[in-house]
Amino acid sequence: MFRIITLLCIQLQFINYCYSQDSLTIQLLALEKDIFYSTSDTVKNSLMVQKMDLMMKNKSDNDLILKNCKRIDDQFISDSVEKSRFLWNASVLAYLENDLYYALHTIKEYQHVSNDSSLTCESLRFFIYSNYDTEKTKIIVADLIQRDSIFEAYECYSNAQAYEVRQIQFKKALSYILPGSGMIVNGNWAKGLLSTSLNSASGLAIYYLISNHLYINSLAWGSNLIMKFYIGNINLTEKLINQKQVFRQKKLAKKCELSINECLLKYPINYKFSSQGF
Amino acid sequence: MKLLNNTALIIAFFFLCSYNSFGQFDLDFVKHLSKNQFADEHLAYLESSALPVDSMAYFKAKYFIEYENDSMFFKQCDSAFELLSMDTLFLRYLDNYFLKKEENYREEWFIRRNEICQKDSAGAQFCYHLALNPSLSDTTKVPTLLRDDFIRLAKVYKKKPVVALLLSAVLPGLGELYIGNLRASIAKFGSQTIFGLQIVESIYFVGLIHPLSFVNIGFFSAFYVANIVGSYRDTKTKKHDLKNQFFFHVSDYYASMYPASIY
Repeated sequence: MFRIITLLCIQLQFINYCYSQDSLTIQLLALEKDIFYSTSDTVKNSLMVQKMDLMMKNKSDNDLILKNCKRIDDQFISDSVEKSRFLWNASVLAYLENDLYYALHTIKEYQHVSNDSSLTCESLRFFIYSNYDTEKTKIIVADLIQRDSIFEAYECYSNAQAYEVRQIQFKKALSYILPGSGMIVNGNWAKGLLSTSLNSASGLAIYYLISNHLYINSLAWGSNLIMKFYIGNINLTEKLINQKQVFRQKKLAKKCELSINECLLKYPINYKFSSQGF
Repeated sequence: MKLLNNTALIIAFFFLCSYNSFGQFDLDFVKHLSKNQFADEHLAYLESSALPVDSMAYFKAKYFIEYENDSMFFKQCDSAFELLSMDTLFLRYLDNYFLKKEENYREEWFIRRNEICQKDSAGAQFCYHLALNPSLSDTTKVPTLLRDDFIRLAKVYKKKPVVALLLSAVLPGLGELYIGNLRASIAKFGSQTIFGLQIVESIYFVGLIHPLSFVNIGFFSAFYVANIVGSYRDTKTKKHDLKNQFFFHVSDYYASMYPASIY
């Protein structure tokens, strides 16, 4: 009887153990415990890399993975293959999480450690640099196109990012001189004409009040209407110019989207996992 | 042989038990999880620990406060009363924390706080109770650095929204002056005067039956009513804002003066 009860308990514990080990959180907790109790920095960092890999494999939230990733000091990763793998994953993650400074730092480190000049690596560099260094982006794109013409799509994307509406200052100046004209030149005919007519009507109303010796009314209404319509016309012109710029950029980027997808299918930017597993 | 088999089974049982649970509860590890903000691992660790009910509730209460899940904190609070009452640092942290929270959570916490520990005759808890019904005679009981805020709150707290409304109806801007908003009072009185002058001027030059006079009278009336309603609302808003501002300053003051922490 005693043996049966003990065997049942063992079975219960075993089932419980098996199920609990399936849970990602339990595995992460076990790794975190190992990290916490380990005294060697090398072991600590190696375990942290393992934890990061586990999270990536299980598609945890990118911000959580990046938080783990930022704890890792790559100086303590002795194996150069592991180190370059970690740096690559870190730069992909940081780019996905829009942490461009960290992405730039890790991709530079990655290239320094691995000497990787593959098209995939250059492709990732392009995406990271395209957010803030136009000159560097142009150099990368030129190099990529030289190696494979499929990367012409990146040039298209780069041009779309750099697109600027023409005559911005001229349009703004026009809105100061003749209310509504800046919007008309920008292509917003209806809004421009409405603004011109509202400002003209305000001017006429003020003229009517002054000619009828209604000076207090002209001052009060004049200051209110001018503030509303004249200043409003200047602000609206600036807003519409910005809207047009964003709209055009998106339209141009949309044109390149299909060809960029083709590039990414041919040269996919993926996480790199350890071949050994853990 | 039979004895050996039984011993082997018992050893196997305890071996699996040790695998399944994470062993002894380690506070330093909890602090480490908390410092790194590993919310999932933190909760998993607490749940896998073989803690007594009250300790489990106590640590979970800390966990939920850390991740700002106030309603879950209150659920754990009931089972952890005794342990909470002994943790002065955490109680201080909770006082400072809830002083900056929405009114309902703040109220709920200080009701429970009284049940946990009623002795406090100074500190954030004391200031909270003073601010519920502030009186200028209590000014000396408040720390020197918080007195200006308290006096401002006590002065405004006596003001009644209905009085502000009536004063605004008598003279535009007077309601704002009553609650101490001098700038708003001047602006409201000024704008209303200009509207009045516009009406007088338009009636004098173009007559009463004229679109301009109608427009001016319409705007004057609309602003007049808006000023009256505005004064009523402003009185209520100012009381609420000054109270919140006082609680924020109390929280910052006690956080800087006395140690308070979750762990």
